[in-house]
Amino acid sequence: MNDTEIEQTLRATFAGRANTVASGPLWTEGADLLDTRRARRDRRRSLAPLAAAAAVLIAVGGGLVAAQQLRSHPRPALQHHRASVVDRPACTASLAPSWRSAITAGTTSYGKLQLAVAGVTSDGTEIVDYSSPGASGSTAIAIGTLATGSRAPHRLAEFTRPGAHGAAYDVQVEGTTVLVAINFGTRASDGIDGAPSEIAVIDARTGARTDLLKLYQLPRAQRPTTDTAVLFGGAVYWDEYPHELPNREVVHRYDIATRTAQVVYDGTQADQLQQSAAGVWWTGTSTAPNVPARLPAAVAEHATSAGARESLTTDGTSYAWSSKSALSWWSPGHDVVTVKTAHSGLNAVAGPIVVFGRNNQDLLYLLDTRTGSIVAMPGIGVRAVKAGVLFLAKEPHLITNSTVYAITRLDTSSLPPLRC
Amino acid sequence: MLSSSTTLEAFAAQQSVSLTRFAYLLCGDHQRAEDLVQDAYLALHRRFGAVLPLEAPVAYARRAILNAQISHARRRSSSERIVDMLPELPSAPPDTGGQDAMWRALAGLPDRQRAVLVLRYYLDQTDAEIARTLDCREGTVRSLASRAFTALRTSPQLTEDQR
Repeated sequence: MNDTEIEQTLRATFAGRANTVASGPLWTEGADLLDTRRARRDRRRSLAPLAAAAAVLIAVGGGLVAAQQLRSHPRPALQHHRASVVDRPACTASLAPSWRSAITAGTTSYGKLQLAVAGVTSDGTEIVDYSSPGASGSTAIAIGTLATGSRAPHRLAEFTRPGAHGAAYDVQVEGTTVLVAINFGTRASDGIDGAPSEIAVIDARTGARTDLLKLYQLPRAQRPTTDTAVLFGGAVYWDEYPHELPNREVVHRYDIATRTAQVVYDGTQADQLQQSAAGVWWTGTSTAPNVPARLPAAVAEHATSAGARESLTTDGTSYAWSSKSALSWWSPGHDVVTVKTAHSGLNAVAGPIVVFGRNNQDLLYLLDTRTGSIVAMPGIGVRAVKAGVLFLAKEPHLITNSTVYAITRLDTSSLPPLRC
Repeated sequence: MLSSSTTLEAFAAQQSVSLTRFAYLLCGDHQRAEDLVQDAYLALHRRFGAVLPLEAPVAYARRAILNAQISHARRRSSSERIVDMLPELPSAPPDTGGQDAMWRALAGLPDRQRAVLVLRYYLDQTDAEIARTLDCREGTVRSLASRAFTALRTSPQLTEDQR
């Protein structure tokens, strides 16, 4: 088929297939909202702003760089008691004064420094990403550490390309390893695809950087397309789609300890490489990941559906997952708590608090699994979680006439339960 | 044309079929298409309540459907279902001009590439309009379309159909 034939066939195909749909769902006002809503995980990438003019982060694929550490490698089971399931009714609450005070006290402004906490290492170091002017005014994305109380990050590594006017990137943290997957946009291309063209890992303790992929160093005809890079279980996985073979997919694995790379899949394009706290998969089924995580017994027993496994998230201790019409939570020593509520995606768990909704398109909600109370949190996004601490960020594009960046560190364990 | 103060209930009644068709072309699955439309209603309700103070609620709903489908990172194989009884649906038209083959080829495209094709060749949107819908730059739209055409040109489904 030539391009004209493809276009004609596309038009005919779309018209013909559209006509196979004769009805659609309706909306009845007043209907119970606690109905079937499919959980979904959002890919999170972000665009660095234009070096010359922009001062606002732009979301790609539905969210800012956020919650990468939702992918923290879960620990093996610590206990084996059979957890019961407690169904807790949902109710709408407002933010208690103690929470408001904690948010105020935990908020640090970084002015116009476009900084976000990307994750926390196993030794408690906050990893931040921020944009900074590179050589010749090109956009540069820096990765650094942020000492407690400091407003100036210590730079570990910087990523830039000559002539780059922006970047889409993803930062993940596991143990003391930081994964950076980044793609730069140039004026010539006039756009930034979220697929990474450069993948690197950084040792947060030493700043040592290992470059795993630099597509731009390859001749254009030999460059594969990439889609995703994930950090899981001490290894980096990324997928490649050879340019000349559009239905072929190659998945690479780089072992951080041994510094060796291998191909773990080379075959027909299956689907996008993806990850949750349940594992990493590129073929097979979501209930049986290619690289399964060792889940606590209660989580393995109750988070069994494909949707639950795909949505599974942890802060390292507590776990949360979603089903069509409910959010579920478990933490060591507790029963599984299930709260029926409409949702459009699970974002994070921090101690007893489950964060859901969508960061940009819709409001973000906090669910207190101790009480079933749900509180809307407009104008913020989850940037990271670690052991009960939520790292919230005001998103400038959601705040009129504001380009001031701020991070809120909210230790949920020190706060009273939210109540309706 | 809907007024800027239409209710969500009225909006859904009027746009249900067209939104579901749009969602179906994006995802290729009737059940998921209905889920996507339901989720779009929910997003509208959460954002605006029962009355939609929007000039272009259709565009907003399409955007919600697109975002949900594109950000839906689940593996396609996990959403496949085996059913004992096929749902009653209008049958697809005869495969004239390789439409079945094209439909199968579309299933192999990444979501964003497929979305660009649907917006271009079903909704007849310009690249500028597509860029606004997808919240990206026109260059990205062209890049996605180019990659989609490259894949379709060498798609086994389409090349086999030519034999």
